Amino acid sequence: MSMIEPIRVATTRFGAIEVQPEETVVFDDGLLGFPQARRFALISVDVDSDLYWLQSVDDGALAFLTSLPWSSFPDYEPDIPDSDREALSLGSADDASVLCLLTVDRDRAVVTANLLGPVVINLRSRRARQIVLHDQPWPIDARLGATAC
Amino acid sequence: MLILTRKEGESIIIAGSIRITVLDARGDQVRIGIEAPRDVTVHREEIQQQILAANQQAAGTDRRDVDLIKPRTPSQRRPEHQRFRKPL
Repeated sequence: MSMIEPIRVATTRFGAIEVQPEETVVFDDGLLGFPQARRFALISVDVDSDLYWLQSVDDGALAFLTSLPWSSFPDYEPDIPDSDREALSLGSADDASVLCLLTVDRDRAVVTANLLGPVVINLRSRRARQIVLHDQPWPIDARLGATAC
Repeated sequence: MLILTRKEGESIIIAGSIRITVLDARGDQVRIGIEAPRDVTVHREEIQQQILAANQQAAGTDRRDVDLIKPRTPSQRRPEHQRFRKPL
């Protein structure tokens, strides 16, 4: 049995962490504005939480707070374009996870989710991609807590 | 910047595999058709810029910001046709 070395990352938010390579997800195209950061670790905020940190393995200072969208936005139905399904080799929705990036305005205590540009992960291949939902009605800054859940 | 003049119905080929066709031009609007390989992403520039700006703002999130998010019961309710899973 071969031993796979964990990846050690010095992060600004979580201190020194160790990530198993199989726990990472890889964005072949990076995220918009962050093209160099490819490998990310998913960190649960809490047991049973829908919140996850997407922590860059390549840049310890880069992390995004993300959420599974449906507890806040039960009617969210992103239609993933065929080109993105193909780029992710996504055969079935059963293999996919969808996370939305959250933005926090501390002064106004407002948290918004980007429903227009969600992150789609192929859980089989651990490949991920931020997709752009053209001509779909999902807002880039949907307010958490503004809708009943 | 390379500047080309095209008439309606005329195209430009980029890198041998991307075809951009001027479908029609009326007033201040031009309709453009794009045929590209499936792995080539095509975005409207303003939407790409919006998402880039949102990403940059999202990258400033701090651990204590999580406290601003009220805990919710994780929803078991997901649209039937969207069988997406939790990533962990």
